[in-house]
Amino acid sequence: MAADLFADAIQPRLSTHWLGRDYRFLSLTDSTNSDAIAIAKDGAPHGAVVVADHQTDGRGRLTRSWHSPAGENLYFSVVLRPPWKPSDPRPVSLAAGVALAEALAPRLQTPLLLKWPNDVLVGGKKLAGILVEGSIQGGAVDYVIVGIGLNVNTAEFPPELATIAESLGRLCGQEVDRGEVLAAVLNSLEPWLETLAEQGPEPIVAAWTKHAASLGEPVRVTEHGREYAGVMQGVDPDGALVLVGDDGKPQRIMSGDMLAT
Amino acid sequence: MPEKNPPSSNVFEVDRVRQLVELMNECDMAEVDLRQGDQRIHLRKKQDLVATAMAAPLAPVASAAAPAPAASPAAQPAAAAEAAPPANAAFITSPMVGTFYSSANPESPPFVKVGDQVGPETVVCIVEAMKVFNEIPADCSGKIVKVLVENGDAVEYGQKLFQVEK
Repeated sequence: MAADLFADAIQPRLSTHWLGRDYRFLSLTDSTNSDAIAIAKDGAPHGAVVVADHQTDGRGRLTRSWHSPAGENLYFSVVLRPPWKPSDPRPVSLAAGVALAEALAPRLQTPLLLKWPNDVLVGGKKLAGILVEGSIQGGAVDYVIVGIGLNVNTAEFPPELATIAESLGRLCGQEVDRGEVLAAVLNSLEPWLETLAEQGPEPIVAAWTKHAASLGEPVRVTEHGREYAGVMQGVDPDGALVLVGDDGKPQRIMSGDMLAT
Repeated sequence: MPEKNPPSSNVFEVDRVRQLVELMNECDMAEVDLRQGDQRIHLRKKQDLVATAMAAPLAPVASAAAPAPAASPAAQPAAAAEAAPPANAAFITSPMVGTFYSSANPESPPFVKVGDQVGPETVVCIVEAMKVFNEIPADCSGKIVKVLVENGDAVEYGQKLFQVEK
């Protein structure tokens, strides 16, 4: 039963102007990002949203799958097609993190933290993940897909995830209304995406930094096969992670992975 | 177009480029390639005008529609010394700074390999920055003859990723 995610349950709760006005619900799919890419290639408008009750092949970053059982959580993808240059979408992961933090943190007793660049953590465990995929054609962005997997009501994670995954329901001690959470996230996401488009990455980075995990702490990061250790100093105005190593020199990371410390 | 020294000391002046583009349009030239010391300016027209200006080092020229191919071997000794890409070579370049991925994930086969025919829409790789994974279509038609970067490499804006034979 997934009527809580049908368009007529979600759209009346939206305060958005363009996000989710084209809303497509699927009870079962392999991955909402794949669906969103397909509809983007077919000309889906800016702000179209694909939501699924159940994913059979939910994806994380390149290799990792996202645990996506039916009827429990939120798996959705947003189609963006702003007039951007190829490097402009880089802070989209950060903007989506800020929107999730804003929508979810007020419901929680425990602090919600954002791990650079695209994970949402509570108590060191992953509550939500963000996967952004795009296409660049003729030197300009054709589309950008923001995929979000958010653990809402999973009560028991499989053993391999039990120590690394968390859900809103477990944190709140009761079942949570998925539809209400989805509408809240979309309502928060639209203004942050508009801020990014209109003002660039600086305000996104400033808001993201307020929720940043590991700030001022020692971290390890891999980038292009090299591992860097240092203290996380922050995030540059363009969204790059900045570490300071033992030599005192700041190291900018643009496409690395933060490792567990 | 044979080499010649422009009168200005700086070939990268915007006015100079504009003059060259106007000259190309007036004379219906497809390509202009000027070199001065270690600087070079290379303008080439396709369906739309494409202008590329590069600083050192001087690279072999990928020229198209040379007006006098029969005369060129004697006139271009420098180019002959290097294994210059053939006249019908083109390159797919990175539109952004990031990490190059040759396949969608480590278990998947590469998007393209040497010998594959590609069209403008064919996805040839992914370039990632800050966990934004961008599919890069070929934007041209032809056969992949060289893969110039390795999976996981850092790539710069404009860096050549694939050589394509048109």
